[in-house]
Amino acid sequence: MADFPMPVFYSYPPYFTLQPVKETQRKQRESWKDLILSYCCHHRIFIVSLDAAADEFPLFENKAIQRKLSLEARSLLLEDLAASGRGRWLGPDRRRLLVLWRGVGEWADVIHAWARGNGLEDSVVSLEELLGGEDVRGSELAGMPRELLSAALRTLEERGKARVFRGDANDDTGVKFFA
Amino acid sequence: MAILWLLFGMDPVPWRKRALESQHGTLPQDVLDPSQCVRLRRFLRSLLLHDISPNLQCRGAGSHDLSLRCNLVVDGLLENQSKQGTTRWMRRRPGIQGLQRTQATRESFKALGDHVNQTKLELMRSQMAVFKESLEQFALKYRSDIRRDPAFRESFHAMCVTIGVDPLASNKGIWNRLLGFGDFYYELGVQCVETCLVLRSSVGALVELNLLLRHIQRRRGSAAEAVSADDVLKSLEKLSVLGGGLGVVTVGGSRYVRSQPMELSRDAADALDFAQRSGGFFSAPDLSASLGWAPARTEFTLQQLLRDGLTWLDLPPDAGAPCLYWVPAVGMEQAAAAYAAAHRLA
Repeated sequence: MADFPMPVFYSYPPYFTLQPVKETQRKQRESWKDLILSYCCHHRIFIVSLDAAADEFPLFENKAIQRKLSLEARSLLLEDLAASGRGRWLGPDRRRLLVLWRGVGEWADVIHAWARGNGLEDSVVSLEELLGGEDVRGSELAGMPRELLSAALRTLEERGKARVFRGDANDDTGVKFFA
Repeated sequence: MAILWLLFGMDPVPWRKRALESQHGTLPQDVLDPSQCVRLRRFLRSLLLHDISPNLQCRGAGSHDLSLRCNLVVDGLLENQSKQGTTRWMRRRPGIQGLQRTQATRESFKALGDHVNQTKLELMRSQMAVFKESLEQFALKYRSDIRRDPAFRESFHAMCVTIGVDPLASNKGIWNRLLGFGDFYYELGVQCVETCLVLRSSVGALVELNLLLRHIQRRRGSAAEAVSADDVLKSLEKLSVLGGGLGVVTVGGSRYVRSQPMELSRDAADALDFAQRSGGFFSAPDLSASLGWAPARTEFTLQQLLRDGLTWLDLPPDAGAPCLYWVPAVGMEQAAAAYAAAHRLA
C-alpha cells in the first residue's frame, strides 16, 4: 500500500489541540475533515470508531510530535463528518461512524457497474456474495460493510436499477440487477 | 551666529553680480538686523525692482526670528512699491519724461527676466529629452537581462525610482513596448493573491514574505521566470489599490503580507517578532521574561493574537508544562522541525 502523503498541518502540534477561538477552530476542523476523508479513501477504511486503538486507526495520533487528539476533539470531528453528509452514525450511541468518502449514490453506481462488468444483469445475487464473494474480492466493492451495501442497494432500488428480495432470514436477502 | 542666505529664483542681473559673492549671497552678522540696515534694505529693493524675488533663508542660532523679520521687510518693501509706484532707490527725474523713462526701464528689466526664464526652461527641456532617450536605450539594450535576472531588475527599479520614472505605471505606455513586463507584474500579483487565499486556511491572514515567496515559486514551477521578494512587493503595491486588506506589514525585522484587513497593536507586533526569533512558537512565561511584561499584559496580548487567528494554542502532553502558542505566519514546517529538534524527537 502506497504511503499516504500527510499534509503539512499533521506535523504542526497546535492542530491536535481543540482551538478555543471559534474561527480558528472552524479552520482546524475543516482541515481535519478533509484529511479524514482522503485518508479513509486512500486506505479504504469504511468505519471509524471512537474507541479504536491507535494501531487500528492511527490518524488521530502523531507519535512523531507526541500529540494526539482528545476524545472530545475526535467526537467533534466525526460529528462534522456526519453533519456534512460525509458520514453516518452506526448505532444510537454515536461511537462508530461510517465514513462516506464516496457518496451513497456513487456507491450505487459502482455496484451497478460491477454487476454489469461481471455479467450479472438479470440474475439474482445474494447479499453474502456481495459482501465477501469471489467476484467481489479485488474489485471496488471489497471490504464494504453491510450497512453501506444495504444503503447503496436501496438507492439502486429507488432508481429502478435493482430489486432487493428479502428472505426469512438474513442470509436469504438477494438482489436482482436490471440493465 | 546666524547667516543670511539669499537664494534666487533666477540668475542675478549681471551688473549686480559684483555685489554678490556667488549665487548664494552670504552677509556677515553685523548686517543682520534688517530693520536698521539701510544697505540690506536697498539691496532687497533693487532685487524686487528687477523682479528677482529673494528667498530668504537663515541658518544658525536666532535664525528663525531673523528670517521672519527679513520676510517682513521684503513684504513691507513690496507694499511700499505698489503704493508709491516707485522706490526711493531710483532717482526721481522731474517731469513726465522722467516718469516715462522709469516705466521704460522697468519694462525692459521685466523683459530681461522673462527671457532668462525662457532660456532656463528650454535648457531643462532639452536635458530631459536627452535623458529620456538614454534611459530608453538602456532599457532596450538590457531588456532580456531585466526580464531574466531578479537582482538586475531590482537595481533597475531602484534607478527608476531615484529618477522619478515608473515603468509599470501604464500597460499601454512606451515602457510596455520596451520592456514588455507590465503583464508580468499583474500576473505575479494574481498569483500572490491566489497563494494568500490558499494559505489563509492553514497559515492565516498574515504570511511572512519569504514563506509566501517560496510557495509562489513552487507554484510557478521551475520553467517560469525567476521572481524575487522585491518583485512580489512591487506587484502587491500595484494591487493594493484594490483594497481588500491586501498589504505589507513590517514587524520587527521581517515583512509580512496581510491578506485581510487587520490592525496589529504594538504589543501584538512585538509578540510576533518574539515568535519569529524563537522559531515560531513560545510559551507565555518565555514571552513575559523576554519582553519584560507583567503577566496580565502578556495574557491580554496573547488573547488578542488568538482572537485574530494569528496564534494557535497547543497543550503539551505533559500536564505540568506550560501551554505553547504557535504562530503559523512565520512558517509551519520550520517551526515543527525546530520543535522536534528542541525536544529531541524522531
